[in-house]
Amino acid sequence: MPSGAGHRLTIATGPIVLSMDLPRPCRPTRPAKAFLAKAARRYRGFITGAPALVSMELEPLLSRRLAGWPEESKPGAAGCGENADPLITGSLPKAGISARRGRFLCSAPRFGWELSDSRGKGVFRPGPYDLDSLLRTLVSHLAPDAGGVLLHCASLSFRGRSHLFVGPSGAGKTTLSRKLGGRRLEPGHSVKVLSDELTLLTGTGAGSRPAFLAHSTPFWGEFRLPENNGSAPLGRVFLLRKGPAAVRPMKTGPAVAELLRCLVCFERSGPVLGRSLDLLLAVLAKHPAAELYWDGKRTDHIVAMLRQERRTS
Amino acid sequence: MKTNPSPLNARLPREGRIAARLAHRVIEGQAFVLDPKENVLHRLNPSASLVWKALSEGKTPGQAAQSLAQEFEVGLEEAGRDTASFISELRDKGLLEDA
Repeated sequence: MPSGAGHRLTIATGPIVLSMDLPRPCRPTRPAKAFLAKAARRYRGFITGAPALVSMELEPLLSRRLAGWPEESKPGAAGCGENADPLITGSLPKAGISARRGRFLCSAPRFGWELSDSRGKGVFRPGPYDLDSLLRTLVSHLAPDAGGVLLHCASLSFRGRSHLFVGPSGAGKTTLSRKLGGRRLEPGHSVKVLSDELTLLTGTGAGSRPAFLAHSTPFWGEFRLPENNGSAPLGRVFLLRKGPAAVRPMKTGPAVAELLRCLVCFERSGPVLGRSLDLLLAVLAKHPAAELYWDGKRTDHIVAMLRQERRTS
Repeated sequence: MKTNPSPLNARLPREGRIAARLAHRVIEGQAFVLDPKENVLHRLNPSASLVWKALSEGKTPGQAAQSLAQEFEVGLEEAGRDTASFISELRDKGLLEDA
């Protein structure tokens, strides 16, 4: 059955592939079909035919509520921003994942699900926007096993290199993405927005020659391009600051502390968090972070830096 | 683990181990401790980081105090008091558990 059509929706972000099915032998009703059609449009660009790491059944698709499920993330809408809060802020809702004998349990104020990786089935009790929350939680949960982390940051690529712009809500990630996205900085070369909100960062080749990739995710903030699924090798890591244009190098300690605050991780296990921490440290060892000050309007110094990066990389 | 039978050790808290739920690393002399239970990132100051590192390497509170005294050039008594106070704080926060 083709992915993104009929009974199944399969979504890929980087190496993480999730598939959702209607329960068998249930026949899809009109609301269920409408839901899947909308979901396929919502995640277009991320639909894949690749084998899934995790498959689940969407049980309550008969609910008419799902037919009204919106295709776009809207700023401030319930479930869009809140559940993306990073772990280390103290403001995380009482959501979490626990694993018991191969069964994953997740609970949150507005949604809950249960997933057994041994049987490949799950139950999803959705409300509006909650599929996005579920997918985000799942991707954050699977990221460490895929050698990655999900970071609350914008990522822009230019001439085959991706650059991370890290910061909490209000730091200017979306504004910067809107200003630079699609802009032609050199003949034949434009800035591509991988994400204006959440980026999957993966690492390979641990040891003396690690390599890192930034991947698009289907979890947008306010900005959206029709087809924005892609990956690119990591270039620079910037921590966004408000102020007159400047770029200041950062030490690893403060930089990793800020990256940790932007880590989207609902995991409650020390070893898993330790792996995420190690990945961030490896990233910073190869790509030292810098504070990027800007006033939210002028981007001249950022454009100059992207061009310069291309010449020096 | 054996401890030195010095007067200092008698005043130091009993040994403990770092709670298993924590993720922690020492980066450029600063300890970062992630506590997923409390959703908190602890960034320790240089002296606390030194004690944390010693404890994470399985050293006794007495050995941690000696390292502190050596590194920060303070008396062993003062280092012992600081270590005891820090360990007590770690226990209060649940970051250190009984061995």
